[in-house]
Amino acid sequence: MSHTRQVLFYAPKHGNTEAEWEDGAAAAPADGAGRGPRFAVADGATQGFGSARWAQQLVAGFVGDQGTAPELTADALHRWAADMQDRWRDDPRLAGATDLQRLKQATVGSFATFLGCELRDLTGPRPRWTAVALGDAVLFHVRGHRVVAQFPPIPADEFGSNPDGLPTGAAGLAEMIGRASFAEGDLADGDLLYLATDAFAQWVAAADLRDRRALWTTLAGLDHPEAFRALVADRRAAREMVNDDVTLLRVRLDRRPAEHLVVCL
Amino acid sequence: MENYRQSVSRADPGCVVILLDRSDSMKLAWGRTGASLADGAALAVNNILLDMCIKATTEVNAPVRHYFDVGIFSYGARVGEAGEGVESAFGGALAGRGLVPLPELAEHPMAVREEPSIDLMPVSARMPVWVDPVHGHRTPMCQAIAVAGAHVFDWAAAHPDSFPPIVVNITDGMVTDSPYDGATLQDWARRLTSIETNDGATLFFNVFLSPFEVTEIVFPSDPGGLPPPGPDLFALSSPLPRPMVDNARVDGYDVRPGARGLAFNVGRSTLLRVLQIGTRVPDRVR
Amino acid sequence: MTTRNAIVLALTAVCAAVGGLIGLQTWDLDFWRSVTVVVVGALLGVLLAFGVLTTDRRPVTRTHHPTPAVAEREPVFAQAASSSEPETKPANRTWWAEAPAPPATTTATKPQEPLRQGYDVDRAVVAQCPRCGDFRLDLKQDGESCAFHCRNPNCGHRWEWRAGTPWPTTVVRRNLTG
Repeated sequence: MSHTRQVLFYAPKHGNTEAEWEDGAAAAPADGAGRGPRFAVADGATQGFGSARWAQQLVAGFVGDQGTAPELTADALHRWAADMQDRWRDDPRLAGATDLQRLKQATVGSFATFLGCELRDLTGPRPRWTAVALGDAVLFHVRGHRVVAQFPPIPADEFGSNPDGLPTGAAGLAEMIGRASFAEGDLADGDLLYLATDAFAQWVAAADLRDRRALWTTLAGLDHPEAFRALVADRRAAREMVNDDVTLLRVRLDRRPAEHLVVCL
Repeated sequence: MENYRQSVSRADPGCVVILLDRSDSMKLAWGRTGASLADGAALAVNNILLDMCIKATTEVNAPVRHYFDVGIFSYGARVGEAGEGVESAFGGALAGRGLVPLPELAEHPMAVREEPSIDLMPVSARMPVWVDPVHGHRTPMCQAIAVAGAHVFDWAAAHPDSFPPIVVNITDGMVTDSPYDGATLQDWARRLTSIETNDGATLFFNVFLSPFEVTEIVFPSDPGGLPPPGPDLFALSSPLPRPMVDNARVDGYDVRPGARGLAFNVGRSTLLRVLQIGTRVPDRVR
Repeated sequence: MTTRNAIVLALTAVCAAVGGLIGLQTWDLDFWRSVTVVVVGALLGVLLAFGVLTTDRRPVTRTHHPTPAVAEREPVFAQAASSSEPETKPANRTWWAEAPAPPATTTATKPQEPLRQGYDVDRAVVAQCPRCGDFRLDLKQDGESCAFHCRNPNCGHRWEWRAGTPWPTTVVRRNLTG
C-alpha cells in the first residue's frame, strides 16, 4: 500500500470571494527521513482578524512547508504552535494595517480549529493513520461504503459546540494544547480518508446516517472542483449544509500506482 | 432545518435596526452615572456600531465586510427639522440615511472623539461616533415602527435568504401616539414581526431604561411581576430564538424556555450587553 | 472556443447543409420546405458538434478526463443597500398592507452519482497547483514527465511531476488568488 493520492477541495461561504475562504488545507508526501505523508485542514474564526492567514499558517506548518513539522506529541505541538504564532504576528503585510485592524489584531486576534494527520508504516506490517484534533474538523476513515472510524467522534447534531482550537494569542495556548485529542487507526488497501472542516463534516455525519452508500459513492467519485462546488451549493440550497467555508481533503490508499492523470479545465 | 440559522455573508447580509427614544424624559440622569439616559443610550449605540465594524474587519488591506445593513431611527425630538417626529439618527455624512451598509458606516462616523467608558470605569477612549444624544418632546413609538418598518419590509424582500431583520427598541417611557394611523402599538409590532425572510420572522426586541437604580430584569420568560410598562413590552417582544438564547447563556444569563427579547430597568453596561446579544446573529464562529 | 473547435463546427455546418441539399435531390419539395430542411439540418449538425466538443477529452498520460459543465466561478455580490434603497420612505406608505413576496422555496435534488466517463476515478491523480490549490492548469507532457503551469493569474506557478511519484506538497492559498 505504497501509494497515496489526495485532492483538496474548497469553497468559500456563499456570497464571499475566493480570497475570503478562511479555512486551510495542505498535503505533503513522505519526507524521506521517516516521516510519512501528512495532511491537514483548519478552520479560521469568522470573527477573528487574519483568520485565513492563521489557518493557512497552521496547515502549511504541520505538513512541513513552513518551518519544521511537529511530532504528534503535546509538547512538540506546543513548541510548534508557539512558533506559528510568532510567524503570524510578525507578518510583514501588517505594516499597512489601519487603526481598526490593529485594534482587532491586538484585542481579538484569531483562532482556528485544526486537524492534522500522518500516515505511517505504509509499506510495513501495520500501515496506519495517526491524527491530532482540536475542535470540530473531522477525519472520516472509510472502507467500502462504511465509516471505519470518525475522529473526533462528533454526532451530527453536536457540531459547533466544541470550543477547542488554536489561538493566535500566547495566553490560552498551553491550555488548548492540553485539550488536543489524538487517535490512530489501521489502514487497508483501498481505504479512503476524508478530512473536512465543520460545515462539510456535519453534513457528512448526517448524510452517512441517511444513505451512506450514496454519500460515499459521491464523495469517492469527485474529480473536479466544480463537481464539489455543485454538491455544496445543492446541499446549501436544501438547507442541509450550513453556509460556511467548506473544505474536503480526500486521501486514497492504493498499492497500485495511478493509471490516470486528471487535469481540470 | 429550524429558523434563525442563517449566518451572515456578503450575499446574505443581516439587518439591524435600532429605534432610539429621544423623548424629553431621556434627559433624566441615569443612576449614578452623572450622564443622562440620552447620553448613555447614544454611547451604547455607538459602541455596538463600533463592535459591528470591528467584527467585520477581518484582514489587513481588506475593507470592512458588508455583513450588515444598519439603520438607527430616532423618535421624539428631531434634529433635521424642528419638532417631534421620526428620523434617521445618523449624523454627519450619513444624516438622513435609512439603512446603511456596514462598510459605508465604518467609513463615515460623524466624529472621532474621546468618549467615556460604558461601564463607568474612570477611563475614556477615542472612538468613532455616529449618533449624538438628543432629547425632547413625546414618545411617538408607533410612528417609529411605521417608518422603520418600511425599510425593513423592503430589505426583507431584497434579502429573502438572509437572517431576518433585528429591530431593537430602546426606550424609557410610555408610547404617546397609540393608536397611530388607526393601529395600536400592538398592531404595529405585529405588522413589523410579520415581515419575514426564508429564515424566519423579523425579531422585535425591547430595552426599557430606568433612571433609578432598580433590579434589572433581562430576558424574562414570564410577564408576572414586571412593573408597567413591563407586561406590555413583554407582549410586544419576540421570543428569543435559539442562537440568541445561546449567546445570552454564554454571557451568563439564566435564560428560561419562552424567554422574550426584553430587558427591563437596565443599566448602561447591561444595555450594551443586551445589544451585543441581540445583534449577534448565528455565526459558525469558525 | 479553440481554433480547432471552430473549424470542426464550421465544417459540420457546411457538411450538414450539403447533406440537406443532396437530400433535396431525392424528394421534390417546395422552396420554403427546402430552406427548412437545410437550416434544420445545419442546426442539428452544429448542436451535435457542440455536444461532442464540450465533452472534453484532453489526452493526458494514458487517459482522458471528463469535465463537468464549467460553473461560474465568481460569486454574486449583494447589491449595496445604499444604491438600491430609497432613503426617504413616503410617510403614508402602507407597507403592512402590501403583499409580502412569499419566501422562495428551495428544492433540493439528490446528490448525483459521479460521472465516470471512460476512466477509473479510483486510479486517478487529480492535478492541483501545489502553490495555490487551483485546478486550472496547463500541461506539457513528455513521456512520463509532466510540466505544469498554473493558469491562476495571481499564481502562475510552474512545476514538474513524473508519473508514479508523489504529488508535491500542496497548500491551498486562496489569498493569492483574489
